[in-house]
Amino acid sequence: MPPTPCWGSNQPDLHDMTRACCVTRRMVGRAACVVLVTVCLAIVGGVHPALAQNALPPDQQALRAARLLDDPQQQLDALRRVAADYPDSRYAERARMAALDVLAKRFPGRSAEIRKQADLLTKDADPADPGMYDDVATVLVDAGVELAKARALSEKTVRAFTEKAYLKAARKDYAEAKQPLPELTQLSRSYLTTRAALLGTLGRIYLKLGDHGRAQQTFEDAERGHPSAQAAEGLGAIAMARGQEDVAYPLLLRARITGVLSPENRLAFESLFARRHGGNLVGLEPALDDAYRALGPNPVHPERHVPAAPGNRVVLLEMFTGAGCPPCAGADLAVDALRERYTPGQLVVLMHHVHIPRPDPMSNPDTVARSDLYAIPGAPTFIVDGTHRDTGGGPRENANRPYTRVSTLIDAALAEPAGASLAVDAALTGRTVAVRVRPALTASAGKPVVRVALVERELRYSGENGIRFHPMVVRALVDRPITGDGTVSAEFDVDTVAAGLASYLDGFERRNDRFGPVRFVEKLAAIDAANLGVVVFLQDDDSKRVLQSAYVDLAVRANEERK
Amino acid sequence: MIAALIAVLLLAQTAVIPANVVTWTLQQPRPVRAGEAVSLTLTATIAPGWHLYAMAQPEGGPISTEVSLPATALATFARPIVASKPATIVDPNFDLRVQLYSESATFTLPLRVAATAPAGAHPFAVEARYQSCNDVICLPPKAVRIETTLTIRSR
Repeated sequence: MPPTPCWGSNQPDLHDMTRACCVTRRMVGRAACVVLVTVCLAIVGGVHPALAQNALPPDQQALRAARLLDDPQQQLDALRRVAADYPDSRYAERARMAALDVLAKRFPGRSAEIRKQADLLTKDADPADPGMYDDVATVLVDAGVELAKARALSEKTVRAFTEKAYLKAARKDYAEAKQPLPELTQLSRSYLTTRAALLGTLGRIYLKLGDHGRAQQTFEDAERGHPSAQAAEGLGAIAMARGQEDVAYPLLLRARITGVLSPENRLAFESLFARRHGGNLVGLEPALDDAYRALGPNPVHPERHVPAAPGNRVVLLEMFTGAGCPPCAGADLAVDALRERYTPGQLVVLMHHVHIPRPDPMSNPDTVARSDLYAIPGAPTFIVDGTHRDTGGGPRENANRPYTRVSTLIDAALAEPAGASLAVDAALTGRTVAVRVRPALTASAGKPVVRVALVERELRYSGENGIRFHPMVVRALVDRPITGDGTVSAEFDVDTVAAGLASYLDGFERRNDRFGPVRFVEKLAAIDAANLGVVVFLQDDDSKRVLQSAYVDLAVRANEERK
Repeated sequence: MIAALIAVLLLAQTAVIPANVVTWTLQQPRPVRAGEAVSLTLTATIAPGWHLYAMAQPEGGPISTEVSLPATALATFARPIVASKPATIVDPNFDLRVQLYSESATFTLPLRVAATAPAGAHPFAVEARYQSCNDVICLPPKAVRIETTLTIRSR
């Protein structure tokens, strides 16, 4: 199998980013790898703009300057100087690892130097604490150099890394950190994940050495403990090499969904898919969707809400989430379940993506402004009808918790009468969305404002938290004060909105107030007109209370008109 | 009663976020002459149940805490920052071993005052950038400016 860098750049300043992606991919899969590029760039290449002119400590500054050198020999020399000048610095080890990366990738023929650098990095490391051994082996196998050395290091750490030693070290670490020890099941899962990552590295080394038998055994061992994209890809590649396409297909499909396939295996998978689906890739995305759903079913099993009495209230749930926010995973799944619990005539959802804790390519100025309006403390945050707030999510398996809390809030809101009625007419003509609203207040409101949101019903994007489907993504949000005859109009030119999103994301990459320069892997600025909906709600800006809401699915509306 | 109990249980699962997850203080340094070395101690006091990520993280981990000096500062870094020893645990948010602090952290900033710094008491600031997630919520990355007074003695 060819090298599988999870980021195909040889730019010197991206070395750490590449490694970051590789390590994270092994630990938590593609989700964490793909978008992490943005964060890595923020960490290694960029400086917070507010700090852009600031002076950094000399060790940090020297490492940053070394990474920016274009000439590989000059960069290597500079990295070694960082390690020599600041031997006790937290950046010395990073400099040594970056030097190994430069040597392996840019000077693969300098075998003795590569081995010496690898020894330098591992000489004081404990193979039972697998980070360093595995990191060095990964750099070597990624570059396809010194594979015997890589195998020796990888085999040693796989042997030494036992569950007993891991749990003992974890107990000590948590006690020192004054943090509560996680449940044993969580620690055991973490052990198996890490072990699978180590076996994945070893399997890749065997594969690169041409030892398919050992590679298969190793990947299968990894799969038994913790199924991973890396092992699935390896097993899929072995099956392909043996001409076993029926065996390879499901493995590569799973790897494609949960990890980043190497360019060669990606092509191989797509060719395989096309051969099995009429010679084209038309059905690829739906097939990937199905595979994703099969891998991670929503742990929440919602029951339909049956109101005690018929009501006219349509509750608005605004959720602030981030594709790079790990605890938002459980909250996102909770929202999926809430959308099943309630009909669109009971609940309207707006998903405001925000750059918390990392850049999110579905964020835009309107969602960020909305988060400022509510002064949200973090992500995930739920706001029900403008006034009832709930915060906190968790991993996927904990989705029931936010689901239970927020459904309690929504049930209570549904029991209240609406404070207004909204007659909404919305239509998509060509690439223009025109919305007319006739609101009628039935409760007092100090400062009533009609808000109109243009949403995409669903976007596909694999962020760090592993969520692939993103519903009701806010693409634009406008305010319309109620004046004159009470009719409110709003119009969205879809291309103008999309151009605005692209411009915002381009600008965010160059300059932003949180991360420094970043690079989005996907910008998600394009808007599919067939995927659009409109959410209208009437809010009292004095109290922030939402008095009534409505949703129009523009595709459904268009179909109705055609009939 | 049952409703109240349910409410308490629900509340218990909700993230409770203190006004300041991390409170920063900068020790006022002794008076120094222009061109002299001086150490400043920056202290982070961390709210119970929360943590502050350390200045170095494994690749792929959270954004490290970063401390810097404004370009207009009357001093520059003379040597690397010396930080108190962080703990290392597996962070479930990243599924990686990360370095972090609980309760408090100290950062010693070895500085050298500019040779041209004029005598007198001057406002002096450092800037810290950090982020924090716990198991249920991520806070936005935050940059704060922490101020003290730097007194430059006449020669």
